[in-house]
Amino acid sequence: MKSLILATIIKALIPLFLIFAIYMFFRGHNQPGGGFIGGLIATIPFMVHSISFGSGETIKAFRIKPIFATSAGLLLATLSGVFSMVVGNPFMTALWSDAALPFIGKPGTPILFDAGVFLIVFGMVLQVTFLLSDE
Amino acid sequence: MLYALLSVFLLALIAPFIYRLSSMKVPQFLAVCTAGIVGYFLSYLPEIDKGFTRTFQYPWADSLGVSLSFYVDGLSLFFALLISFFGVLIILYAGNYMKGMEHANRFFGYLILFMGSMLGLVLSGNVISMFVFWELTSFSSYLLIGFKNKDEKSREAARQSILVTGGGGLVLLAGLVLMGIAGGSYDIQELISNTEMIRQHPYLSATIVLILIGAFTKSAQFPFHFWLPNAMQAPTPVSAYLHSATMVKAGVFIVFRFNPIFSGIELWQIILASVGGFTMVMGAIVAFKADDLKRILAFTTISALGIFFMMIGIGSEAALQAAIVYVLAHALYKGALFLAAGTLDHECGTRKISELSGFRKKMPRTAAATILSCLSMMGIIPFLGFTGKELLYDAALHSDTPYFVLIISLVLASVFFTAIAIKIVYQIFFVKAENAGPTVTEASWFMFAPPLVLGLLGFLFSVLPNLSIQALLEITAGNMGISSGELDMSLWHGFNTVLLLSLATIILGIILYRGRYVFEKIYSKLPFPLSAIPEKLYDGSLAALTSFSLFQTRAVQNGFLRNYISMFIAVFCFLSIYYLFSSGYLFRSAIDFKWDDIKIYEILVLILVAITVVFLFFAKSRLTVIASIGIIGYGIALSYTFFSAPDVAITQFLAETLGLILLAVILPKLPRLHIANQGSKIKYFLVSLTFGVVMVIITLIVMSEPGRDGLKEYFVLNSLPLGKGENIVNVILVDFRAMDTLGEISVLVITMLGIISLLKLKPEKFEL
Repeated sequence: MKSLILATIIKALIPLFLIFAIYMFFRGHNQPGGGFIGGLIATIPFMVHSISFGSGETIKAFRIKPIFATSAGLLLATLSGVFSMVVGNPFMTALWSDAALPFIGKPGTPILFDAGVFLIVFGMVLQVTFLLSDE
Repeated sequence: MLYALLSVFLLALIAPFIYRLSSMKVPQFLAVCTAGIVGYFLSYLPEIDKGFTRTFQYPWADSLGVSLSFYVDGLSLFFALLISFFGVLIILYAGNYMKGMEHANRFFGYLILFMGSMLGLVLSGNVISMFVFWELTSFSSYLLIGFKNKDEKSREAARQSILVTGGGGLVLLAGLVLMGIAGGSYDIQELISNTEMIRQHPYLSATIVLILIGAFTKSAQFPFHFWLPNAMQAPTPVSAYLHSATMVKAGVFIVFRFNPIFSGIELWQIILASVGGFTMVMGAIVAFKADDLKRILAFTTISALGIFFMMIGIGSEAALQAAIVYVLAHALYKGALFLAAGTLDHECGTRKISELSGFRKKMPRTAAATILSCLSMMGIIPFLGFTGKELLYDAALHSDTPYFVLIISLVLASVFFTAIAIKIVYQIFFVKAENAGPTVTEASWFMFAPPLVLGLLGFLFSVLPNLSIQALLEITAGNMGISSGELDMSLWHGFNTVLLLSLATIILGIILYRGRYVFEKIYSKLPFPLSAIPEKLYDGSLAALTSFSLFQTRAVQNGFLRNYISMFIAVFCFLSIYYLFSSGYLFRSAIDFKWDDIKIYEILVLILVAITVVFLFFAKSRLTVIASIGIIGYGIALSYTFFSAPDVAITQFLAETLGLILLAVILPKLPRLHIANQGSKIKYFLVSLTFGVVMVIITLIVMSEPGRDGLKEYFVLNSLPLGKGENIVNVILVDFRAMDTLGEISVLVITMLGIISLLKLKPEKFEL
């Protein structure tokens, strides 16, 4: 599906989509949003990109290997639960830091977990897209 | 104790990785580590020799009354020493034997894994951990038998062994659990002290039969013996270690271990004596006929295992002592013979006796090791085999059971053993080679030393029992029975019946060897070899299983995705309806429906969705279908926003959008929409309709039931103070119920891997 308009626009839109995805991700704690939604949004530009250029081109241009994103996500989500075990709490107990970061607020382990969800969703959807469009 | 065992497993874990550093030095390093384990066990020896025991207890599953405990007494220490000492020799030997073979690094990992499991098995003070280690030995044996994984025969043998021993393991588990229920504990010491409870319990017979079946599968007793000869596909160090000296003795071990509980019960004694005795004779006869050196040794091992079971079946103090002495004698001579066979195979490339001859001059040291162990096997004075056999004869002669049958079958088996030993030694080493044969030189130090050491030990232990193992064996035999008596291992008892029997055995053995052609003629005239029937049954049932699964796959899985989906939905609907009716929910719940609350825009969206659904049903092209599904999806997402579920709505919108894009990508590649006939259309319509109705009913019921557990309130109250977030949905997802989410995302990853393997890997690329 070669479309000059789509191809040109999507190149410009990719950073916008990603920023929006990250915004939705961080927003998730207090308002609608979160890792799952953020991950889905982040896939859209790459999906459209692969439609207009072919998935091989997308992989080359952005050097993404979706399966790595997925595995890193699962690892991150699991590890986020391990931290509390170091302190002596059961697996998956949330830990919160006392120091606040700009824009984000006080970070805790659930944000790592949510980031893991983000990566998994992102990697999974992209991987399936690439595979299907290769067929 | 726990750390000693864990270190063995750790060693198994790192062995494959460090093997690459140096294929020669790493096995030596591993052997030194294993020697450390031997040293550790030896440090308990003085204590145990005096008759003390040691228990180590670690909390495991306390709520189930199961703790991880290790128990050191004579019996477990004897086996632990046997296992770890053989481990050292086998690792040294294998270092040379396996050099240059593919995946040799894994081999050492598996081998040490096996050693750890076996040590765990014999040291377990608890039947549950004993079972776990038992299955681990089956598993590591599977890996080792199938080590040459490109060879179909190896794979088949490995599968056979794990099916037989693993299946037997499950039977054993059933027996152990029954015993635990009857005895009120899973701790072996407590079980032994609660013997009366177990004996009075109605489960007694079932317990005995189940435990014995487990033991017989592992220790290759008729009719489960067939996996052992096939397991000879494994590299020879494995055969020597697992399939003669240690693993196959696991079945014997647990029977030894539980003998104090069951001894004297008729069922226990009769099964053991008859199965053991029959296997003993059968194994010896089949072994004599075979030509492949390893097959011969496998069948003599089966036969020897039969001897042990028969001795427990006799059950007297003398019989138990004879059994344990013969366990040691057998391990020493059989291990050495296997290693020597491996050396011959390694150097000449064949294990067939008929093709091997004249090796005395070519490989003098291997010859010495083989001759030493064959003398022990024949029971020639002054080797341990002699002591063992004297004790066996003595025990059989003084048993109060019908000893006539026992003694005759024992002598018969021994006669065959003698003839086999002569056959091995004479044909391989003393018959002059007719042609020059392959030019073979003596194997390296690491290959001939281990069998030589074993052969010499068989001599030393027998000549100097007082200084070496007599005390331990005496304690061990005591642990196996109810009382313990003195063990007399002296070589000379004067002229008596036993000595005469020994002499007769040797003479008859020589006669049998001379008359081996006559024997073979008679053997080949037998209408059917009894020993082969169980294997035929096994093959038959395996083939039946395969064809049944093919049949049911064809019947259920016809390849149409829509069929599968409608099947899932139909089953779901059926179960739900069944439950709703049987539990009375359908009639009980008063559905409180307020028509006034419904807004006009809600109805509009609903009508839109409904119209699209009807339209979807008559759609002719895929594009229409996709567009309709999109409309339905967006309509539902819209309705989520009406009911203040923005998170769900956003997710639904995104999922719909992505789904649409994805479908747009693959749309041109899909085949034309095609549903065969009106009949199947109606079928799918009915399924969908039922599903919709069921879902509506369930939703209404859920809505009308007040939340009884207070979860909703808890989450609303605690989301901010505990979860530090205002978005309750998200806090639940990533914090309160993060464990569930972890499960879900793991499923997501697995699904992705499944999709990759379905789409990327083409069947024709596989080499099967």
